[in-house]
Amino acid sequence: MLKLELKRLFKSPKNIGVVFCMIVFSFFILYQLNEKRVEYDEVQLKELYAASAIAKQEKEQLKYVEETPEVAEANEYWDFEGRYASYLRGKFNPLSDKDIFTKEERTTLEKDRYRHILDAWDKEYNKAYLELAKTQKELKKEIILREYLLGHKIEQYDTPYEVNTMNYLVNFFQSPNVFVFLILIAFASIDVITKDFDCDSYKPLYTMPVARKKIIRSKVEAVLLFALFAISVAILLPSVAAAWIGGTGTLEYPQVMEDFSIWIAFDYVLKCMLILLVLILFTISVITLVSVSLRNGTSAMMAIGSYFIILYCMSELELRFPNVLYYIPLFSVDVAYTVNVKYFSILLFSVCSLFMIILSIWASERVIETADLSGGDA
Amino acid sequence: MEKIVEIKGLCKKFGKTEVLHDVSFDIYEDEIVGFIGPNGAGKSTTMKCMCNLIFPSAGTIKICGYDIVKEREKALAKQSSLIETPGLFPNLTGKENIEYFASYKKIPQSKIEEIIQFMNLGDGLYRRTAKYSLGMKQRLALGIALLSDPKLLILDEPTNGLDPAGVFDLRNQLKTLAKEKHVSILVSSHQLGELEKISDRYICINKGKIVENPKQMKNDSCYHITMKKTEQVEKLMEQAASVYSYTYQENGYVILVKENHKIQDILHLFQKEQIEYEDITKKVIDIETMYSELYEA
Repeated sequence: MLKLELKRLFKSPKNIGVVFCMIVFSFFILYQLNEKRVEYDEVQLKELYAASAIAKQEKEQLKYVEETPEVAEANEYWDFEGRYASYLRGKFNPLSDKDIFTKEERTTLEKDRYRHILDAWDKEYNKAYLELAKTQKELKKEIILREYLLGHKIEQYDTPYEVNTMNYLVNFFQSPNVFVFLILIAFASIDVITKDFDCDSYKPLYTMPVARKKIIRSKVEAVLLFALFAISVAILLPSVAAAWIGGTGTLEYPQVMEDFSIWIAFDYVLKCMLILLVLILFTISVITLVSVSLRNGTSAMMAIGSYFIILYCMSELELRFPNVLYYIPLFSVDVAYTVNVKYFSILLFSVCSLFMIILSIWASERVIETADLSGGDA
Repeated sequence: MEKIVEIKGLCKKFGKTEVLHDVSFDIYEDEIVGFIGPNGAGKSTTMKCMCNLIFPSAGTIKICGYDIVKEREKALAKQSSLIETPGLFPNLTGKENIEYFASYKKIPQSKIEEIIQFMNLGDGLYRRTAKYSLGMKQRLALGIALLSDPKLLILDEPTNGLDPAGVFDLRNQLKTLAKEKHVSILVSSHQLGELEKISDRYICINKGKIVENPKQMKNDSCYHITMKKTEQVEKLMEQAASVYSYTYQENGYVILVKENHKIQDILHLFQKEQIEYEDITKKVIDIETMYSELYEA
C-alpha cells in the first residue's frame, strides 16, 4: 500500500513542483550566503569607519590633523583646493577623513566664494553618517538577538563568510528557511490526503475490503517519506555544490558556538537535524488530523495556514520573552540557534507527534464513516 | 434463490434530518433490480450505506450474510460499487488506476487483462484519466468495480455522461454479468426507459421510505376497467384491500392490484355491490406510467 501511495505521490505534478521549489529555494540560500559575505565585509568596514569618526570627534581638530598621517601628508603636499579636487576624484572618504580641512582652511572656506565646497563636503559627511547609524543599529540588534539565543557574548567576527558546506548548513537551519520548507511540505501532504475527497476517488478507495486506518496509515507513511526525501535532496544538492565551490568548511564560528570542539559540532548538527525531524513530524501530524477531519483541500489549507501563523507567533514570543517556551523545540523555528534545547524535550515532542499521528489514523476509521459524505442528493 | 442483500429497518439521520426511515428490502441472486425515486428520495444515501461510505443510524445491512458494519471487510469483499461520479485518480493513467485498485484487492494479472479487454478503452488506457471523457471514466470505473468478481454490483446513475452506444454497451454488459457471472445488480437511474430494459423488478423510494413492494410493480397487476365514474366505485376502491392505487382515465379506472391479490377480488366486490362495468383489459404498463402513478399521483 505504501508503494502505491508513493507512486501516486510522485506522479502528481504538484508534488514534483514542491520538490523542485524546495531545491530552488535551498540553492537560493546558497546564493544568499555568497551575498552575505559582501554585506559582512561592508558592515565591518563601516563599523571601522564609525569607530574612527567617533574617535576623531573626541580629539581636538588641530591635534587630530597633526596626528593623522593622511591629513598631515595631504597638508604637506596639497593645498586645500587640491585636496578638494582629490576628494571629488574619490580619494577621501567622508567618514574616515572627516577633517581633511584644517580650522584655518575651514575659516577660508566659510567665505562666500568657497562656501559650496564646505557645504558639499558636510552634506556628504552627514549622509554617510546617517547610513552608518542605520547600519550600526541593525548590526547591534542582530548581535543582541544572537547573544540572547546563544546565552553568551559574541566576539566580533573575524572570519568572513565563505561559500562552503558548513556555512550553507548553518544558514539552511535559520528560521525563515525552515518555515518555508515546512509550508511546502504541508502543501504536498494536504494534497495526498484530501485529494481523494476533492476528486471523488475516496468512493472506490474507501469501499475496498481494507480497513480505512490502513489506507490512511499508508498515506501518512508516504507523506513522511516524501518530506524526508524532499528535505534530504534540498540539503544534499546545495551542500555538494558548496563543497565543490569552497570545500566542507568547519563550524568554528563565534556566532554559532563559544568553544569549538568535535563534540559541540556534533551536538549542534544532531540537534538541528532532530529538531527539523520533530518539526516535520509535528506538521504532518497536524496535517493528518486536519485533513481527515475536514476532508476538503481548501479548508485544510486554510486550517494549516492558521497553524503556521500560530507557530510563527509562538516563535516570536519565545524570542521576546526568555524562558517562556525555552524547552519547546516545536516553536523554536530558528533551529540553528536552539543549542540549549534539551534532548529530552526533543524526544517528548517526537512522542507527542507520533501520538497525534496514531490518533488521526485511529480517528479516520470512525470519522470518515460517520461523516456526511452524501452530497446534495441526500 | 440465495439472498444477496438483506436490509432491515435502515435509518439514516444527518443531524436532525432523517434521510432514510425504516428502509427494508432484499435482493436475490442473479437479479437486476432498478432503484427508482425522485431527487432527494434517499437512493444514493441507501447505496452509500450499503457500501459503508456512510454509517447507518439504525437497522442492519447484510451482504451475502455479512453485516456491513460489524464485518465490514468481509461484506465489502462481496460487493463493488459505482456511486454517482466515477472516482479515479486524475494523475494516473487508466491502466495505473486499474493496477492501483487491483493491488489493494490482490487481483491476479490475468484478471486485470480480462477487465482491460472488457472495458475496451483502446489507447485511452495509457492516458491520464484527467483527460478522459465522462463516458470513458464510467467505463473505467465499471471495470475497476468488476475487478474482484463481486456477488453484488451497486450502480448509482451509471448511464450519466454515456453516449447512446455507451448506454447500449453498458446494458448488454449488465445483462451478461447477471446471466453469465451470476452477479446481482442494484441500479439507480433517472433514465427509466433504460432501467425497464434491464431490470427484473424495481424498488421505489420516496422521502426516505420504501413506497412500494417490488413485486407490486409487475406489469400483470395493472388493469383498465371501462365504466362510469361514480362516488360509489371510488369509495369501494378506497376500502378494498386488494387495490393499491386507482386513477380514472379513458372512460374507465386504471387499477394497480396489490401483491398476493387478484383482479378477481375486485370484480367480486363489484358483483356484490351490483356495480356494472363494460369491459376489462389487462394494461401493459410501462415504467414511466408506473413512476407517474407512484410519485405524481
